[in-house]
This record gives sequence, structure tokens and C-alpha cells, in this order.
Amino acid sequence: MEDSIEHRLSALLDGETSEFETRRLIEEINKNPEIKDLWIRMNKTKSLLTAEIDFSPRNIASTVMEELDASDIKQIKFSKDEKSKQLKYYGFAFGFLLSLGLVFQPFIAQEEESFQSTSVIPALSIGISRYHQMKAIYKRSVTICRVASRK
Amino acid sequence: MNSEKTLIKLSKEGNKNAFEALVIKHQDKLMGSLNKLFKNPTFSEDIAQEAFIKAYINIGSFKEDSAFFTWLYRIAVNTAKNHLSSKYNKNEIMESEIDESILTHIGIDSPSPESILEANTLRDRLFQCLNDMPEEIKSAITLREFNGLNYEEIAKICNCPVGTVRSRIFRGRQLLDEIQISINNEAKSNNGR
Repeated sequence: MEDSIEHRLSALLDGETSEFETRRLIEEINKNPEIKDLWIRMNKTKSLLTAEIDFSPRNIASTVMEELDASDIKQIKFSKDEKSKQLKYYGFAFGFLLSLGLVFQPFIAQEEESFQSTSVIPALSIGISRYHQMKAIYKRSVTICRVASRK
Repeated sequence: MNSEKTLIKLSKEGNKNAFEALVIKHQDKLMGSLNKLFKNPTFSEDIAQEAFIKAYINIGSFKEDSAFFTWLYRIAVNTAKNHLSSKYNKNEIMESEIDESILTHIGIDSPSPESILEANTLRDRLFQCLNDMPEEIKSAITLREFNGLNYEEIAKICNCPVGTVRSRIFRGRQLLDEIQISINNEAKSNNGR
């Protein structure tokens, strides 16, 4: 046998209803003023028992909802925008690194040639300095991307 | 899924009814907390209202790594501070003074004696009713409301099924609601005289 609406409302107050039950209860609260009043009273009883309030405040829910309806306030969509923003910056970082790689490719090829023609030590030193340069550029680009994604 | 998480999820989808349920659930606690801080019920109500509207607009940014009330309370306190900063800016007072002189600038406006009396009368009657309840209902309500235990934990302590706990708590709430209805009716008849 299914519990009464009042019974399930009590469970909702305690956070003990399933998603399906919660959805149905919200519909019920919205369309039935008696159920809405009961929901308000249940919450007030809870607040008074647990000493969350020391005076009798007015119910501001209706004012808040009227305000939201009257000014047609829209929610800011965060999650999707944030993800696309992040993807944009990762794409930018990848493109930047790729272009750097393409720019430095001829120099690396030259070094490989010089490595073949000259002694080992100068070639090694060129290689190491190039490696450090590339590392610094990579670090800088990662920092730029991080700062940009934070903004 | 926890009911509150469902309410938040639905609110994020733009369901205003779900958000209204959240407002009703948290309004007393928020106004009570703000009033403890600002000692001004009118100011606290205005700030709570604005905070709920901001919460609705920005609920997409709520990452659910903290309780909804904590997030809401932070919005409310920041809203209050912004209100006071604008006041201070006009009066050319340093922002660092906000916390110290907060009360002197918004003014201490205690809740009306009627409002305090109403709350106290209702609270006394509710506690009286709680004391008169059958033992198994009283312990279920006490464990839930004052110890914050969930139904499963209460069921283990009371050694009964979760469904029984749910029914006992509901029965207790019905008894408490009867008290509130009778007090509301008394107040209405007094006002009518």
C-alpha cells in the first residue's frame, strides 16, 4: 500500500525520499495549496523545535517566487560554458605547442646535421641548450593557458 | 539519491517549484542565522530574500561539495556586506570597519514582542506535546530532530524496520502539526476580536 502524501512529505523533510518520490511531491506541493501549507508548517515546527529561530519570521518563499516570475530572471548556465571554455584553452595550448614544434623543426634538423659533421661535445651542448629552451617555452605556455582558463 | 540533492538537481534544471521547496525548507534557518548576526529582523528578511534570488540565478555554480545551506549562508552574508559597503562608501567609511560597526549602522531592531511571544508559545506547546507522545514516537522524533540521525540509524537503535521509523516520525509530526494548527486558529480568532 502506498503511503499518504502527508506521510511522504514528512520523509521529504528528512531527506529520505527517492528522486521519483521527490519529483512527485514537488508537483503535489505546487498544485495543492493545502499540501503547501502543510509543508510550510512542517518546516516551521522543525525550525522551532531545533531552535533555528527565536522569533516568528514571515514566509518569504512566495515573495521570492513572485520576484523570480515577475522579473523573468534567468539562471546562469555554468557547467557547459565552463567545459567549452576549458576545451577552447586546451585546444589553444595544443595548437600553440604544435606550431612551436613546426617552427623549431628546421633548427633541430640543422643540429642533427651539425651533430653528424662536428665533434660530439659541441653538438651535445647545442642539444642541451635547445632542450632547456623548449622546456622553458613549454612551461610558459602551460602557465599562460592556466591563467587564461582561470579568467 | 538524497531528497535535497534531487531538489538541487531539479532547481539546476530550472524547476522553480523545486526551488520553492528549497526556499521553504531553508528560509527559517537562514533568517534565524542572519538575525543572530545582524540583530535586525527586517534587514535579515530582506537579505534572505535577495540571497535566495541570487542562489536561484547562480545555482549552476553550486558544486555540491558543501551543504546547500552553507553555500546559501555565504551568499547571504556577502550580500549583507555588499549592502553595508555601499552604505559605507556613501558615508566615506573604511570597509575594514564593516564588521565592527555593523550593528550601529543598520541599527538594532529587535523582533516585535508579539513575534517573540508567538514563537515562544508555539515552542512551549510543541515541547509539551513531544513530552506527552508515546515513548516510541518520542524517541524516533528526538533521534531525528535533535540527534540528526537518518531513518536507517534510528531503525538500528530502535530495533525496528525503517518503514516503522518513517511511520512513527510521521505520526509524531501529525501530533505536532495539530498543535500548530490550533495555535494558528487561536491567533486568528484573537485577531478577529
